[in-house]
Amino acid sequence: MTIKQKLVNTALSKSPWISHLNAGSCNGCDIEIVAALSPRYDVERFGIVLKGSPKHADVLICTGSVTRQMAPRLREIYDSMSSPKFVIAVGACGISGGVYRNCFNVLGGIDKVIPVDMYIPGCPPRPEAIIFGVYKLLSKLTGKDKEQ
Amino acid sequence: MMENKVTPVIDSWADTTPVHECDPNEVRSIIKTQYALGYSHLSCIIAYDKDDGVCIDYPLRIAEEGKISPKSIFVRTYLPNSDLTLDSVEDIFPVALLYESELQESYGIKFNLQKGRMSLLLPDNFPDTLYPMRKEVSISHIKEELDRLNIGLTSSDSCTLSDTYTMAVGPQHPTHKEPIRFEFHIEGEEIKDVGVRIGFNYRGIEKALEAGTWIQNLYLIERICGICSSAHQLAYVTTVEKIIGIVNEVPEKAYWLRSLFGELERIHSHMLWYGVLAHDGGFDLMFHQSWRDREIVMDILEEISGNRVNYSIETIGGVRRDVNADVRRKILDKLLHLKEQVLAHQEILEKETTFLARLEGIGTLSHSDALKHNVVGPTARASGINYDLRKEIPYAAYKEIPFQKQTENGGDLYSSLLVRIRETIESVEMCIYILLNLPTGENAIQFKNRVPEGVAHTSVEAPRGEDFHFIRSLGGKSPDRHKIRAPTLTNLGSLLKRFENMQVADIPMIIRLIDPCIGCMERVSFIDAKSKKILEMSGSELAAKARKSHLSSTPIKVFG
Repeated sequence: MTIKQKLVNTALSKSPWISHLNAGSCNGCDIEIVAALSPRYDVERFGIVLKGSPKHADVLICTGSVTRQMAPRLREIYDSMSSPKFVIAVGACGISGGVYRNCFNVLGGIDKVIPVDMYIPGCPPRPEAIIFGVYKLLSKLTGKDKEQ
Repeated sequence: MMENKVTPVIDSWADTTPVHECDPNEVRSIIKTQYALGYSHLSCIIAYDKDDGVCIDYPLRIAEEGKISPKSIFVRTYLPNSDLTLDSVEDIFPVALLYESELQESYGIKFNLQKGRMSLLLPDNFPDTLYPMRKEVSISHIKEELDRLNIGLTSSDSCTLSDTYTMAVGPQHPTHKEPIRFEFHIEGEEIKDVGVRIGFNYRGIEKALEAGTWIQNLYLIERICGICSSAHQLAYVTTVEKIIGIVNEVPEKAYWLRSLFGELERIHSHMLWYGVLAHDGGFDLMFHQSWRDREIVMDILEEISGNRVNYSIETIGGVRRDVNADVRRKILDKLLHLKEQVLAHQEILEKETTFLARLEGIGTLSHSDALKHNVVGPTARASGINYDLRKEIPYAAYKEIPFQKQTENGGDLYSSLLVRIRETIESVEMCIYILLNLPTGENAIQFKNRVPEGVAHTSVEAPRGEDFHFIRSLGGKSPDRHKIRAPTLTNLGSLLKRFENMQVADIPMIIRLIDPCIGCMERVSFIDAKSKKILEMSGSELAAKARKSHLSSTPIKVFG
């Protein structure tokens, strides 16, 4: 890791801004993501802020099995984010298509369209699991996960 | 033509819904006659393959509390494959435009629609000759064909803006945080025209249901929608129980627990809604308060079912979990605490003058327009339509649980808020009543994995309105046809009506009126009607602008 890279990663891990996208999920994961922002779980204490526009975000939290109509738009949204950028796939259907794998209009998994850095399983995962996933991503950035 | 065996449609507990069979060219006149008699609500249009053609059902019901009996009827016709054309009923029911366009796409039935065929659910560039819901087309065939044509794998630009008005809606339309695209045509500050494109979330669940077994489908149906999961499951199990004929054998306790889950779901959905509404109106404190207290309901749901969102509580023949005395005591304490909190929310929301000023007179829908556009649920009750399925066609244990229907006459956002918050309080009280009067006995009877031949339909009052399920079984391992109509589908038509002559600053609030989460997800496009200039803006940017303009009492400046 170069010094520049290290610096960027440290800065990024202090206050990552996230953007959220539904690419064909049942909304279960989406409400749990919003619940993670609400007072009981309160991810803002880690400096994580939800942003409306992906152009302002460092991390894209993505849910859903990726419908064929949504796939090109997902790619477009990912491309519009500025680097360095990370993607977290939330929920079973975002990982492998989950319960929708037999539906004709889904591609089955976010990593079929864009690269994914972190997978959070569950149908839907609890808000704690989502926070833990984001935390793991941050410790991966700073190299803390290797120290442990 | 109608030599096929007549299958009666099973409605509420023991009755059957009368079916008026007719030739395709008589459909329009018969529906017109029935409309005049008082059957002025078209729930959806159902199509299914039968022999060498397609059978079309029009389920009609009364739109308001009334004395007409029976409360719902079916109009049925049969189209042979050689001639798949039918007269449109768009002039009688404006919402039929959506249903008919859907049938054009999925079954290839041609309606003489005024505006021609529209792209609704299926992806852009979907082959015109492939009708995915037809029986002769298998899921694997569709997948191969779509992969061959690179649909969904390459980028396409069919969401380009045009001056024409396009509108679309989906069958398994999960009513929330989902991708949807509106096109607003504005002149100065006023909205002149709105276009919407959905289908971004169309997964093809109805087709997949035809391949799953009766038990497997329980869990797929639950995942149509993460917020109304129990409502969809309840509609499904009730319909299947009607076909099997075990409605009277299902234990009393199971019906009560189903009602309990229906109400808990309504509480958390309504709390979510008014929280996000407050957030959009710039009242963030209320958002955090309501979401904090919503966690109490989530705890209760988790306590009983073991899961926060998809509870998997229903099964064919009963419910899967019991509530023992210990859990009941715990939940009662929580419910009493919740009631206090919701009453406090009501106090704030109904009296906070700055917030009220933001809501009054926004997105008004008159009583007659609400009837004409077949609006359902709390949105309809806010426009003075006195119709609640829990009272009109009681399902589960609603016949025995006392509660009041909540209606308002304003039709605007404020009335909608009043209805929803009062319903929340009513639901908390219903939950307490259910827990105090829960019958004893078994949870469920055994389901023998066999469903006989038959047709049935059920409507349940989901948090957002009427959730319609129709199942046709041929006695096999899986349903022959399962049609689902989620409430947002009908409400979307009225949403576009609400935008008429409103200001740009009101857009996020009006979108929120029927559906809590689309606004914050989606990018909206502004087109200056004079210069044809196009500007893209995210939902939150728009909300911020709207808030600023409201505080300073100046019009929002979109262009320059």
